[in-house]
Amino acid sequence: LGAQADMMQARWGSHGHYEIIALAPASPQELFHLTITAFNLSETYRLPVLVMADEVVGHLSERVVIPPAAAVKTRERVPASGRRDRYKPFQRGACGVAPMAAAGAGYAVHVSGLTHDERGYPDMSAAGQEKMMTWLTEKIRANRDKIIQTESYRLDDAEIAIVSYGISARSSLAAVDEARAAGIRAGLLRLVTVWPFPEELIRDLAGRVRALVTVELNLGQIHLEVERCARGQAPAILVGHAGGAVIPPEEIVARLSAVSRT
Amino acid sequence: MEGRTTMKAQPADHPLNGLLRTERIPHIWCPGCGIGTAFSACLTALLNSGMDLTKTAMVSGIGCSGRAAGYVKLDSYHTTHGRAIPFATGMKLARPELNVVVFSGDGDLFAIGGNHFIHGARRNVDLTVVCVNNFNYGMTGGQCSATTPREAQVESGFLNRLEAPLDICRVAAAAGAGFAARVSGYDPLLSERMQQAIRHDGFALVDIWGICPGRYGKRNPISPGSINAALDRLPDLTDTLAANARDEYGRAYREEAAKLVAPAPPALIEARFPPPQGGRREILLLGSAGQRIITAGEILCLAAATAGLHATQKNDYPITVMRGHSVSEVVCSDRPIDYTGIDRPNLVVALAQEGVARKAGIFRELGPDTVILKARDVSLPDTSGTILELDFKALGIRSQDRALAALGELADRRLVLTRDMLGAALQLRFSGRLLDAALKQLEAGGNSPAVVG
Repeated sequence: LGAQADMMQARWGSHGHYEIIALAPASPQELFHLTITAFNLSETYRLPVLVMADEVVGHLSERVVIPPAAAVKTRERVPASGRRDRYKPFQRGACGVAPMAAAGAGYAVHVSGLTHDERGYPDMSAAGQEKMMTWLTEKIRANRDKIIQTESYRLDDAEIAIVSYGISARSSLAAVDEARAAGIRAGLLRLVTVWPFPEELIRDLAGRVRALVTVELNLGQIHLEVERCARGQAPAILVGHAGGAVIPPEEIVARLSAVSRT
Repeated sequence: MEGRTTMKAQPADHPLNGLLRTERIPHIWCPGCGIGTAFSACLTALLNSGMDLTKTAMVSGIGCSGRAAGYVKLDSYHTTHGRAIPFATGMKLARPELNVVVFSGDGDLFAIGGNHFIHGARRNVDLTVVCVNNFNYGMTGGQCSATTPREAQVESGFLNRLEAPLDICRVAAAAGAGFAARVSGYDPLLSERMQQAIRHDGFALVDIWGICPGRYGKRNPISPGSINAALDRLPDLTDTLAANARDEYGRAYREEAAKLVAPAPPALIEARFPPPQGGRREILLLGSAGQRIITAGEILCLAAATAGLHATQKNDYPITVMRGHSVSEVVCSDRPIDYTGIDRPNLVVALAQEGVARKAGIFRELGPDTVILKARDVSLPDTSGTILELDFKALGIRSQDRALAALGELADRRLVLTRDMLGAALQLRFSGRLLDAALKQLEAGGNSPAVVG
């Protein structure tokens, strides 16, 4: 069944405190491009990146233009360099990311899931934990403006802003046009990057509109993030259901219409 | 007696120091623990193997033995619980030039990682798996593991008495490993056995029976003699292991992959024909398994592309493919398609009762603007749609050819597609005999007009 109910699982599905990157393609074409983007982000920031194709995007057949391989831009991790006896595999470099030694490159790296220091050695102390968790979160938080991609549609003069992603954003796109035709000034903020969450963008938007309507195929996940970031400046409203069918534009328009009358 | 070397109080010039992260010593292992013996025997085997140690990696899982990766001065990876073998498999496949040694314990490798172990042996990736088998989960308090003897006294009560312990070498042999050696942690030839495993070209297991003095050993007297006696009681595996000899997985994989021919680049479809209608058209194809409904949906989308239209296709069928409904939802539009759902289709093609039943709710909503092309032997729920009927049986059209015949009928009526578009789509979708058959069927069906119902 098609749903978008794993948004929080993607964000917090592992143990410990960390930041993650998750992308939500809305079409097979975008699924192609965002998969490349995901690898590039993963290589840049040295962390797993999730490509969250919902069931509909995953099973949809649609025109896809595959560019020649030479036209695809790829990024590779910064490799370890310099003296082997001085290399520390988790010594943060540019963007807060440590250059990475490949196995067999002669650096004798140690990688562990335990809380570790710059050498990769266990440091099971509160101070060690604080330091490592700060590394893991800061390398993403400090670079979120570079990471986050969103798309705006008819948002400049919008009174009601829809926030949506993946297949639901396509229903929302249709709903914006239908609502505008009915005299409702609606606009759409489509999240291409879902995590890290575009907090400032939502906060600014909340200060400019009468309501924020989140459209997603679940019972309220990103909706709660939108509500959090709106900080009470505008009401956050959910258009969602548990999954199994795409949300029809009429359902969104009906809600926009109800909101515009209040 | 290299096998007896322990890591405690080593002199600065110990021959293994070059392979140790000496800054991490003292290690965490208990005095008298069998891991130290196995670890130093492993390092000795690596030193004596003549391998390039900068191209050698050690991978461990979780547990006391899993800490080995943290002390060895090689590329070393302390991975998640039970996942040392899949991690090592990936590493060996990505970098075949590496020598990859997995060093871990019985709980990690055979209980939590048991599934990975079986498939590692089955695949025969060139990994050396060194298991310190101490019959319990030492690190978490001495609970029973997959190898705990039934008569042992452990910290998880009676549970081990209810379960048969695994003879992991027999599992390895049954799963397809070419090398599996049971060896006592007290055996002076321990390091030589490890060297044999390292030299083996394929999946190799060294199952080292050792003592856990902090947990298991406290309540279960264990000695070199008792270990040897227990090992002697186990069946010999020489013939089974010899019969498992075969190609190493990574090499065989690369050889097979090199033979593959690169697929043709995706077709570039040019807009060649004017579409019969503008705007957005929603088409619902309803049939049953085997009626080539989904292929018809693909052909429809390709036909739309030959007229420069955007198209989406979303299919619905049971997980299996030979029974039940087969539904294809196609949207064609001269603008980019936002919403991909179909709520009020312009066109419904109803070729089997199963498909109609799946979408029964939609018929009530349809007005006269919707054209329904139905097979005569299919009955519809009440609807205000405009019905066209085709008697496939009378026309001698087989069930599996209904969908293509229906597309021909739509093309003749210039509903969504034209004959030119359909012909071009068939050229894109089929080739050779299949194309000839499809074109022939279309020609034959050209004189069979549907009846307005």
